[in-house]
Amino acid sequence: MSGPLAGALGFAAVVALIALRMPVAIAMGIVGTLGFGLVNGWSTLGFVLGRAPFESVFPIGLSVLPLFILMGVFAAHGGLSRSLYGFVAALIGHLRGGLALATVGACAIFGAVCGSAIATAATMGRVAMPEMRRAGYDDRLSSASVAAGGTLGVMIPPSILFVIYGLMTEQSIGKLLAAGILPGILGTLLYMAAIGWSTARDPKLGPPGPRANWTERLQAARDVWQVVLLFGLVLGGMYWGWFSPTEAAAVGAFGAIVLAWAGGKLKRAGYFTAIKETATTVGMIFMILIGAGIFNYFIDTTGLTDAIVQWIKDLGLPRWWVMFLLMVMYIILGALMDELAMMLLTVGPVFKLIVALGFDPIWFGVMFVTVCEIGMIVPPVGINLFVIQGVSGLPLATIVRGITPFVVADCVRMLLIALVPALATWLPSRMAG
Amino acid sequence: MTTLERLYDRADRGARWLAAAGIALLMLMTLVLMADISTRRTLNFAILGTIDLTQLAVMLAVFFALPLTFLHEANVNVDFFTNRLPPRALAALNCVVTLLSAALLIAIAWFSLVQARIQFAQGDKSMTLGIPMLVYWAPMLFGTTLSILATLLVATREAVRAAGAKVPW
Repeated sequence: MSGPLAGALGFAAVVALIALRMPVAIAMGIVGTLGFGLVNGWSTLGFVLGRAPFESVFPIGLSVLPLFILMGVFAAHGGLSRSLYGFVAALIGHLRGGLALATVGACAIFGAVCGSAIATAATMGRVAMPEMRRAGYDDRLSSASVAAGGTLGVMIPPSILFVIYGLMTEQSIGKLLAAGILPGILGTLLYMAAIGWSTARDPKLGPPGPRANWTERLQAARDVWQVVLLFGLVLGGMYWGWFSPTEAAAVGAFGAIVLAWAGGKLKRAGYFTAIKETATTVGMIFMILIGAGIFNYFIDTTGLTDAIVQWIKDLGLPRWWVMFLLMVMYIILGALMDELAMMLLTVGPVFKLIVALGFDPIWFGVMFVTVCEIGMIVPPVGINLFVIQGVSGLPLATIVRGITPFVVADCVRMLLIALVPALATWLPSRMAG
Repeated sequence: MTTLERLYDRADRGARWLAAAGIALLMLMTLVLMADISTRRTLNFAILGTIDLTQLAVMLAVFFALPLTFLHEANVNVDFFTNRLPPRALAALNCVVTLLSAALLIAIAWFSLVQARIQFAQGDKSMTLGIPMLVYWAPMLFGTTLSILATLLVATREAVRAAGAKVPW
C-alpha cells in the first residue's frame, strides 16, 4: 500500500471511530499509533508514543491556551456577562428585535474576554434566553441569536482557534489575534442585520421592549468599564509590543480573577466550580492536541500532505477556485465534526497548499476561523446548537429553524473578507514588532 | 452504597483536588508573570527563568487535570450517530471505547517512562534555571497513570450498565 493511500485510509478511520462515539483525541491517537506502526514498523513506535504527548504540551507557545481558558471561565463565572447584557440591552432593547441585537452585541464584547465559542454561547444563553422569553420573543430567534452570537468568541481575540492555528503554522499569534478584530466586528454587524431582516419579515419574532432612560443607561455602563479595560490591556499590550502573547494571557487571567473577586459575585463554591471547569476544559483541549500529535507523526510519514498539494496543483485550477472548493469542504466537514479536531486534522496539508498558491497565511487563518464559526451552528454536529439546547431545554429543531439567516450572514462575511483581504490583514500589518 | 460507588466517589474527590492543585499553580504562575512584566517595565529588571517555570506550571496544570477529564468523560465526542441505540448497547459501546482509551493511555505512559529515563540518563536540564527534565516528565507520568485508573473505573461502570444493572451515577 502506498504512503498517501495509507494516510487517506487513516483519515477515514478517524472519522469512522469518531462516528462510533470514540473521543476525538483517542480516535486520532489510536489510528496514529496503529498507522505509524504499520507504515514505518513497530520498532520506532515507542519513540512516537513517548515523545508526541510531551511535545504536545511542553512548548512555551502553548502556555497561552490554559491561561486564556482561565480568563474566559472566570469572566463567565464572575458575572461579567450579565453586566454586559444589561448595558447593551439598555441601549438598544427598545428596538424591534432589540434584545436579540443586545444578545449578539453582548456576545461580541464577552468574546473579547473569552476565547471559546462554547463558553460564550453557554454563558450568554443563561443570561439572555430567560430575558427574551419574558419579553415574548419567539424561541427560534432567541435561541439562534445566542447560538450564532456565541461563535463570535472564536473570532474576536483572544481566540483558542487562532492560537492553535498560529502554533501549527508558525504564524505570529499576536498578529492572528489582531486579524480577528475587524472580521469579528463585521460578523457582529451582519448578525444584527440578520436579526433586523428576520424581524422585518415577521415582527412577532422580537417585539420591541420599553426604552431605558439615560440614567439607567449610565448606571448599566458603570458595570462594564472593567471588561473594556481588561480587553484593552490584553490586546493593546500585544499590539504595542508591551508583552508577549503568554504574558498577555497571564494579565488577562489575573485581571479576570481579580474582577470576579472584586465584583463579589463569586462565592467559595463558585471558585471551585470555575476551577473544575477550567481543569476539564484544559484537559479536554490538550488531550486533543496529544491525539493530534500522535496522528500527525503518522500523516507526516505517509507523504499524504505533499501528494494532495501536488494533485491539486496538477489539476491546474485557478487559485480562487481551489479556495472556494476548500471552503465548501470545510463547511461540510464543520457540520460533521468538532472544529478543533477539523483544524488539527487538516490544516497541515491545506496550509502547504494555500502558501504554494500564494495566499496570505494570516488572511487564510481568518477565513478558516469564519468557516469554523459556520460549522458551529450548522446541523448535525453544530456544537453551539447543542449548547443552547442544553441551556434552554428547547428542541434542537426549533433552534435549527431560526439559524438560517445567521449562516447566510457568515457566508456574506466570508465573501467580503475574500473580496477585501485588508479586513483581515490591515490591523496585523500595523502591529509593532 | 456499593463498593464501585464508593470507589468512584473517592476517585472523584481525589481527581478534583489534584486538578484544583494544578490550576492553583497556574494561577500562581500568572502572579509571577505579572511581577516579571512590572519589574521589567519599571525597574528594567527581569525575573530569571519565567519561561522554565511557565512550562512547568503548564505541564502540572494539564496533566493534573487529565484524570478528572477522563473520570467526568469531558473529552469531545460525537454522539449524533449513536444516540438512538438502546441503553444497554450504548453502555457496551461506551465500555469498549473507554477500554481502548485505557489501552492508548497505557502505551503512552509506558513509552513516556522510557523517554523520561533516557533524558534522565543524559542529564538533560531546562534552558535557564537548569531544572532536570525529569521534573517536567514527572507530572505527565503521574497524570497519565491516574487517567488510566479513571478510564478503567468508567469502563467498569459501563460494563455494569451493559449487564443490565442500575448504576445511580
